[in-house]
Amino acid sequence: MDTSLLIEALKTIFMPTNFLLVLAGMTLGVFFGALPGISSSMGIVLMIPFTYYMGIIPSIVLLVALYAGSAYGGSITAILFNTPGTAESVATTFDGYPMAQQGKAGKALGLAMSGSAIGGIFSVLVMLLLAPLLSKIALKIQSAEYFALTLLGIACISSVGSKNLSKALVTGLLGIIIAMVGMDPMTGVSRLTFGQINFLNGIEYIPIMIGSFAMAEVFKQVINRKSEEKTMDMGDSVSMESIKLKDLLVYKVTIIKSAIIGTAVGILPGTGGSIASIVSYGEAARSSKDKARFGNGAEEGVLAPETANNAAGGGAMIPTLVLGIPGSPTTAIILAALVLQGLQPGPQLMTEQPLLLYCIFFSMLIASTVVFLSGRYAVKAFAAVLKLPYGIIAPMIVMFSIIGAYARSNDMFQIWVMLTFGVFGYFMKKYQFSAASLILGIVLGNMMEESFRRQLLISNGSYMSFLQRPIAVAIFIAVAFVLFFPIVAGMMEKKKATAAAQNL
Amino acid sequence: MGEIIFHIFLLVVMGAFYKQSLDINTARMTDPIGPAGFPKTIIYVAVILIVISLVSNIKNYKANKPKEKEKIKELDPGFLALLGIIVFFVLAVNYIGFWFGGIIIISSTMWILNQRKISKLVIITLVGSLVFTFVFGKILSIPLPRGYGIFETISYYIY
Repeated sequence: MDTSLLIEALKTIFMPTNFLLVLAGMTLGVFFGALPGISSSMGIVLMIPFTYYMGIIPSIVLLVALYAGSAYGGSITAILFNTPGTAESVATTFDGYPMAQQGKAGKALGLAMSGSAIGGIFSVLVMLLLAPLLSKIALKIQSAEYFALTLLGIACISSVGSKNLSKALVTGLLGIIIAMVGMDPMTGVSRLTFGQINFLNGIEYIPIMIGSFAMAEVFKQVINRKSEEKTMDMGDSVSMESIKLKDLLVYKVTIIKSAIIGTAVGILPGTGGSIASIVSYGEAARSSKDKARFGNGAEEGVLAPETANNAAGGGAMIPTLVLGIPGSPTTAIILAALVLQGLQPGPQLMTEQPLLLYCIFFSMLIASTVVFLSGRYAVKAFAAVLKLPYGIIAPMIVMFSIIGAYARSNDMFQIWVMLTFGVFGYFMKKYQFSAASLILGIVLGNMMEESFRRQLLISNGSYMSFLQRPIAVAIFIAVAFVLFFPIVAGMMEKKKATAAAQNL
Repeated sequence: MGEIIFHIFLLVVMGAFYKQSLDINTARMTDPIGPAGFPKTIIYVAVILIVISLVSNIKNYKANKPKEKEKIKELDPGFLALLGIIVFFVLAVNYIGFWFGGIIIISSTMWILNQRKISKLVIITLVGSLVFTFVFGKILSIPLPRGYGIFETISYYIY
């Protein structure tokens, strides 16, 4: 590990502007995470317009801190209202809400906050240790491996991050086709432009992202709206029973185990916090001496998923930054934000932007620490905000979406693109296609094509050259595993079910 | 049924892209597959996957055919109104300015989502539109449309 870089990154992150951005990002993250209907990915998408005029480091640390904060925010509504603010907090409702009903809301929130902070800090430390090692491997990566990595990214997010593999792959492929609209990067020939001048430079992906995430959600809420209703109603005020460090030590095994599970699951591309929290909750329940407490307000039932989902947040940043493969839909958006800043995510990022990477690590570390130190005081304020009806939140999302689409290139045409993909995104959501795959396809599409064609050029058109490089072969095997394992597992389960039915 | 229609729509989109890919000029090819090779391959794979998904959907639909006629949720007046308002905003914003467009968007979205208390609606609409216009127009210096006449005059007071 380069200590001079670490010191430089610390200096950069503690510059007043950057530090304030980390705090602002964290606060917004908790806020977005807490509001049902605004996912962490949507929160980041809505913040992107603010980063257009910022430098690389300020914009990325803001978004990363927002990402770190949102993982904790989701637990507030999960505990207080039995409504997870994010998918990552679903497991927190199992014991968090029963605790709140027993008058221990403050304790549950304190546990969630402490677990979140510890999980986040643990994963950042793992990131700091692992990233330099991975970067050494990354230096050996060339065109064939780049192609294999992009393939793996799309396969992972389609396979694990969505409910239907073939539908997610379709949207991923559509994303790749959209990425190819405009000038061919190797010959300069225009292609797939439908004769539109607006498409000659390619289709901007920010309006597509805003449309398919933010506007699609507003459309969904509008279509499914009921009569006058509040987003949430908190009922009684939150009892703020504080958590002391020594109280946490009782659960040290659960915390350590969950942090390891979370980081490990997060590192696996395409998984993310929701799987990590469920796995960790299951492990905590399995290894508990008193299993009956789980589901009825067990403290470990709150600590385990919260520690794991925050650890997964940090873990997911490792493949995103070092290999260019996002670990979750939210990190896919962060990947897109990196591209927006003119960076090419992937193995070379470690060598080209080492300072940025360490700044990202430290911003996540600070965000987690601040959550730990200030979270308990903020809970009441956030609980008050949750009383806001969706009818007030939605117009703000629409305004952010319009400005976000327009401000990228000060072009009204981009609002049309955003609106089109808002409607398209609504139907994608409705019919279980994956918006995250679409975005990843757009972000990685050009890199995928260029590396494929470059490899063919280098090898005089030999397709076998992709299979002559050990790292590429290993990645292709991983792609095959990611794509076919769920299919094979599904077929075997069906077979078992049929056999069981016949035996009856 | 909606899902089947969506699949057909995706096939049409792929068809349109395929037609476009036939027009790509491949005369200046520098690499073995050229500028049209990759898009065409991706389109073929996508079409195969869509067809597989479509067939499974049709099978499902036949097996669980609804007895009553399905209600099309997307014909919801609120949804169509919101779409119409955003379309109107894009068409009219150069004439009415961003700040006034914002007033229309915020107030109508609130109204659609059943926020009908007039005082709340007026305050949030005005404050929201002014804050958005000020933050993005003045602080972030984004050239938001000012509109013509009175709209333009008022815009100069904001940014």
